Amino acid sequence: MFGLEKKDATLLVIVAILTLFAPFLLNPFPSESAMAQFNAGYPDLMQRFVIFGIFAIGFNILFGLTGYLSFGHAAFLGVGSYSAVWMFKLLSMNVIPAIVLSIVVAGLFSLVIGYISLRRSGIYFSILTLAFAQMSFNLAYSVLTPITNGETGLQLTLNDPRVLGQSATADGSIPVTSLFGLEMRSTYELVMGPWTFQFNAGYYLCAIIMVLAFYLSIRIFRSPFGLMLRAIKSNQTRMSYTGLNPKPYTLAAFVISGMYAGLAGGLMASMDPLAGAERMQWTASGEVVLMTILGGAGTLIGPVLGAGFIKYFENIFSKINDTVLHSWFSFMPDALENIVVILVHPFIGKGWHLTLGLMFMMVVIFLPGGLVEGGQRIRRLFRRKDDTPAAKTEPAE
Amino acid sequence: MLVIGFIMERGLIKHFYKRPHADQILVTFGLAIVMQEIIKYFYGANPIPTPAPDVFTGSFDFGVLLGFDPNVIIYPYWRLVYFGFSAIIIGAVFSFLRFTTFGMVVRAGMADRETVGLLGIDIDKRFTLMFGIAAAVAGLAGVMYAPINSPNYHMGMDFLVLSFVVVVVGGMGSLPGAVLAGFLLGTLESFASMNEVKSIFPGIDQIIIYVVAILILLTRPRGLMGRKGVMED
Repeated sequence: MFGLEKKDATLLVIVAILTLFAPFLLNPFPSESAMAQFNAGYPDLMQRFVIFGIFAIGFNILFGLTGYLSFGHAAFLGVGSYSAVWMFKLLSMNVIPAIVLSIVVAGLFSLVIGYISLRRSGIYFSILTLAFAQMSFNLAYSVLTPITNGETGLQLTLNDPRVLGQSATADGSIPVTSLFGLEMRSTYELVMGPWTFQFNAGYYLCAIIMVLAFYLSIRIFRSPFGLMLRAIKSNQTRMSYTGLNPKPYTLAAFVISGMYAGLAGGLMASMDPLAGAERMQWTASGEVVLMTILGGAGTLIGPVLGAGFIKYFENIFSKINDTVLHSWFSFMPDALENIVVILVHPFIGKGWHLTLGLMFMMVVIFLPGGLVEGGQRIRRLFRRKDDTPAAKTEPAE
Repeated sequence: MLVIGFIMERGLIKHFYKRPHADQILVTFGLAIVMQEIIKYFYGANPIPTPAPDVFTGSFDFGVLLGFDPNVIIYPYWRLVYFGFSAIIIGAVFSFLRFTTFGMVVRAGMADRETVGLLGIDIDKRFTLMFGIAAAVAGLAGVMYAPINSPNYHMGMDFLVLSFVVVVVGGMGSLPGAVLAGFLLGTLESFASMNEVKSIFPGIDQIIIYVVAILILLTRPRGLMGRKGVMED
């Protein structure tokens, strides 16, 4: 199907079904129950799942295949957001031109940065990309304020000169982003007994794009081009001795992953039309590295899993507070309950970073292949012993 | 700090010498997040103002010495102390690495760990000690810096990127290189912050460090004074 092998096609279909039914799957608890705060089925979070999924898929094409660890990928995301918002300001509120422009601009941007940075490899490449990203971040904050609106972030205003479409709606508010009239924020609520499911137009747009992006990444992974990228990772010297020049391949991978990041940025701006410089900071780049590694670098599904995992914990863990904890552990004797709450307290709410850091360290130490490797190990436990172990993805240099 | 450094090395970093550098970076990055959160948990999220000891408050009037009017060129005493202190630390670390047997062994281990181990030297133990010393020096820098900028829980992350850039620009495995790069980038940034320079190149003060870092890495692949063979596998 679609020129894929059976295994990959199955994976693609599973991902497609999962994203399609996410509003159901992520809402397993009735909206009135105590567990309702574990529901992730609200539009804002689901959009973030798929958008960061796209971002991580793109990052994985570079890092997972070629092993070049870029520490400045968030810059492309930021550039994508800015160009999308400018498109909204100047052209129309339709998301298509905005997304296209953000991909193109991020692609050009990554072409320039990649061309320069790829002269070095290993840690020097990481530093170069980091330097470029920090440079863009600092510039967006200071000198480029006319373009980026500095610290406030770029927003839509009531007097934007929108060429196609009006600058303000009839009742004097800022028009919303839409896809040929279908508003991105429009949400259909389906109430089924105690459950409330939310279907959001913007989410489905992002989800469809993510499935397409995922399909593209499968094709890249299985193509001769993907094989070349793997060759770069395993032994670049040997590759050049066979008469192949690795540079164009790496540059192509860098630009492709930059365009993925731009797409993610454009989608982010389409869902919520504002762009800020903090999206370009190096911590944001670090986040996508975390996602990819946590899920499993070099695997197909890993980055998506990692992105979902981190975003879920970021939103859900940070919402839990002491009152919630007390209600969970209320079955214990009071003294014990208080002790447990005190012990758990540093890991939740504002301390969720601690949990994230610990989990991340555990994964890097015990599961270098990420969550995907964890899954494979569990599956292997249930199989016969003479099974050949699945090819382990070598952590990249 | 020495002790914390020891524990970190023994407990965690040791297992990563054989893993690729990317893994080492990633695991320490994770550790940095964890430590930052622990610090936040114990000391809160707000900066803690730490004034310098009373002896060193006030400023030193350089201008008078050079014949300018008073208060034209002044410099806080604490920064002078800081300057002298860092010179002493740099000198101490440098001579420790350069003139002692221990330093010699560590430098040899940097180039070829296995051979040094084969010579019957317990290189692991020395690397642990070196890691501890590195942590202690960083801690000292933090203590001395406190009066200049009130410490807060995320200041480590702000310095992480800068010190990373400085080390790579200076050249891996070269102490003089790191010092040189530190001085170079620091001085350049101060110059770029001057209003005269900013009026010609607006925003230059924000990016000068990165521009210089990129230029140096492109022209000198191993940084300013990098050695062949360190961090290159």
